[in-house]
Amino acid sequence: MVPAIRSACLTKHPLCDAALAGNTFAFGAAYDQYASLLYGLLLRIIRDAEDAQEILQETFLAAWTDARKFDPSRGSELAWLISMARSRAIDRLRSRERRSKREEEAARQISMLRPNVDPGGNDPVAFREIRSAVRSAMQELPDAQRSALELAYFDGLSQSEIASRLGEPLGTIKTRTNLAMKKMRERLAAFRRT
Amino acid sequence: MTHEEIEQIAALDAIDAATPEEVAELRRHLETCTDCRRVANELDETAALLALSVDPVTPPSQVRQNVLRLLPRQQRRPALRWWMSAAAAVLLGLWLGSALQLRRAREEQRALRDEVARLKVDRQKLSETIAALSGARTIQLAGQAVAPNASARVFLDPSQRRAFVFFRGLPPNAGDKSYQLWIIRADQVAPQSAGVFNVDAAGNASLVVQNLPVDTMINALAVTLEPRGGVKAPTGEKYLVGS
Repeated sequence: MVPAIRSACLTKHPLCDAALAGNTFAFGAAYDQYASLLYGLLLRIIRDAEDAQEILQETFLAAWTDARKFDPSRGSELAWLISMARSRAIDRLRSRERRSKREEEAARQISMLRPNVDPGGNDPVAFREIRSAVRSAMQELPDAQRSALELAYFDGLSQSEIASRLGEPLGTIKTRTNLAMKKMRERLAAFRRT
Repeated sequence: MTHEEIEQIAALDAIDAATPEEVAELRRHLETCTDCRRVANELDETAALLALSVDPVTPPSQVRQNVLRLLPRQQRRPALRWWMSAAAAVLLGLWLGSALQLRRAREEQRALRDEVARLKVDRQKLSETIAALSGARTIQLAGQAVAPNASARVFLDPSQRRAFVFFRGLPPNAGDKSYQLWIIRADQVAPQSAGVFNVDAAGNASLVVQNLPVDTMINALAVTLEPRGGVKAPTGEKYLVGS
């Protein structure tokens, strides 16, 4: 199963191929493959539909423009896209000064978006397999480690901010985050290109 | 800093949780450490996979439309491919060719315009000539012994002090020879030159005599073959004579 997954969605780079060829039709098809995954992530991070859509659009336009910068030896196209989208979202998140307001709105936004969650149609089978593996690995983490990892990854909090929020020493938070990343790296080795 | 410490920073950097100082230290180390660079790449890709723990959400179709609509307007920066260079060269060549053709066409157009202007002048002159010839007095010249089949007709236009002469059947003159028309006036013995001409391959020619003498009688007209360019007084044999 794993080799098939890797060949299906991690070893190919249809978006960059389409961009380099200037093929907008193929680019649209690749968009369909990745968009729902990225949009779900952006909503989870930014928690604002309008901002998430704007960043999603920026990410794909940047992929079209910078496709030549994509280096397959450093990871999959999927990882490259996620990294671009997440960086943009975290940057925007950190530039905001209305974090508290955002958190108040979070539950309402997410609940409103629930009906749009599409675990089937626009979610390729290969991604579902990876998703299942990632969730399993996350669930296996001790709560404290998972919490530290999620606050950093999805909320863009610094290690100091996490320590402050959880009332723990900075060193403890760093250790938890490191251990969590180490375990995830081991568990997801089969789904990486590197 | 040990490799283990670097690996820990790389884990934080993968989720953007490292401090700027730690990131700087990491970058310096990765420049020279292949093993740590490999680990850092693995951690980066692991971090990306964490995104898949989130449920996918279908974005509004408007986003897709916007992306595809804006794609061609994006400034792409691919290297100039060979076929692009070739196409550019061909287009440049075509452009230069077109420019030269355009220039040539303009020159031809200018020449045609000049020709039309010249033909208009000729037509005007011809109209005047026809008007002058209609009702004009004529003199017939007859071929002499050296050219018995030759002939000429002279149309006199005293009002304009000119005459139109049409020659037929004269032997083609050699390159060093010219035919010369003479007017024998009543008031002087010496013949007066009225012009020099050459005939075509069929022996035909035409001549317009300007400053035709009108204050005296014209007793006769004659044509002789003279050295090229003509002479002051006739020296050659007579080809045509009329009165």
